[in-house]
Amino acid sequence: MIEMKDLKKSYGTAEILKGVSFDIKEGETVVIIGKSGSGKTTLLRCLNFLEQADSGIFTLGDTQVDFSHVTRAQKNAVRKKTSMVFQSYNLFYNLTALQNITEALIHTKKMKKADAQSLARQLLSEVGLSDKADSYPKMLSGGQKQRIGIARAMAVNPELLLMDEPTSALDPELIDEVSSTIKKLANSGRTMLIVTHEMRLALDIASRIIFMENGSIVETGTPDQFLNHPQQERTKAFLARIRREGGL
Amino acid sequence: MSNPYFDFGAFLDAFPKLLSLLPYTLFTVCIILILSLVFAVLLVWLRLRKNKVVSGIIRLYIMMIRGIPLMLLLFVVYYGLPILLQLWGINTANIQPLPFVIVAFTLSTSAFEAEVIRAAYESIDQGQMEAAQSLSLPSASFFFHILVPQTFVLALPNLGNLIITAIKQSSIMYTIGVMDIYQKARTLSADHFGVWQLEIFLALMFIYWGVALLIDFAIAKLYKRMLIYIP
Repeated sequence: MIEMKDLKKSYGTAEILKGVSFDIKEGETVVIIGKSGSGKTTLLRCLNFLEQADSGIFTLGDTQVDFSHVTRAQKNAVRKKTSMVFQSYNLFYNLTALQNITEALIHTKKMKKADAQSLARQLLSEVGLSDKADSYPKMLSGGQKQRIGIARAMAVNPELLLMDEPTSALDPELIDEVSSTIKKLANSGRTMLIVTHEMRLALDIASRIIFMENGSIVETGTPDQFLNHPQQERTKAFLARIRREGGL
Repeated sequence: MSNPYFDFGAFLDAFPKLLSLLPYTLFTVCIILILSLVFAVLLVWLRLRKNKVVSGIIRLYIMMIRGIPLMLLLFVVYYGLPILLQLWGINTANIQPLPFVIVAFTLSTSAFEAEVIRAAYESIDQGQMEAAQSLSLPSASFFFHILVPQTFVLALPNLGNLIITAIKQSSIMYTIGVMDIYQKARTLSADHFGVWQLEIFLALMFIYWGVALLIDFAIAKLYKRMLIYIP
């Protein structure tokens, strides 16, 4: 059980997150959707300590962290139980695809090199890139880079896999290969929290959708509830706008 | 072949005589480059400290060194360092000029290298840092496996320029009496009462030029091969 209670974050006087609470059950794929500037990416980054939240209680399995006083040990504990897929992939450029995956296995998880490599090869085949093990990121397409990024994040076997706009930097024709990889993960029972502004991706993979606006959660529901029976006016307006813009 | 303006034979004759001193010049420059790189890395490390006093002092130091003509720095080191050392009771009367050359050149070159390395370091794609953090990668692994190699590649073209600069500038060590390739050209010219001055110095020019060309070529080739390691 993963639970976030009353997450708050401000930059100076600008309140980005105004007390956000939600939970994620094991094996669930929760998608946070919202316009840019709604605070959804900041939320995700707070959970991984790439941003320091002001307050909130985060429970992740047997680890509980009060964001207003975080110890180094808590920070490490949470980071070890989560991993992140980035919008711009953030692969290590001077390492091959395989080394991108084994780096943390060998140096963080202290796995034997041979074991790390065989796990990495298995993950590469899961994301359909067995033949790219020795390629450097520069030789790969955006979609391939993102699939390596996903394999790298999966390798550390996180209790919660975080994805920040995983398809937003991709050319339209490359989105499918990444979203089908994510869908496969969702079906295999990974617990994931995904941030996106792409409605199609959200409907495709979510077990639950959280709609955010201006730093607060407006509405939560299954893709069907969300799309066909929205309760809130702001959700209806959001959906109407997306339909107008052809995003559905 | 003979004409009153340019003696081609003397021009060709100068090459072997000058080239015999090229290894000495290159060896000296190599020592300077190795020492200066170590010192430059130290400077960058201090320069990037969070401590504003330390990084400010280093910044000022680098600015100061970069603002001094190398010949002047060489004289200051050559005439000033013995006095400084004497205050600590170290007698420098028997020390050859070469160590002073190495000290002065290392001070100067390292300041320029520090700026090049810092710029390269700061231009590394920051997303990789976040990836390392999110994977709890130990900072030593991240530093040595990812930051150092990429900084090296990013800095390589500018470091190549500094290598060529160092070789060219090494010519001023003759001013404190070191027999390098430039001083060899001067003595060779003097041996013939300056009759073949132009021929000899033109030969010297071709040698410097050839070395610069070779280094340029080698660095460009290495850089091209390493481009795959950076965005």
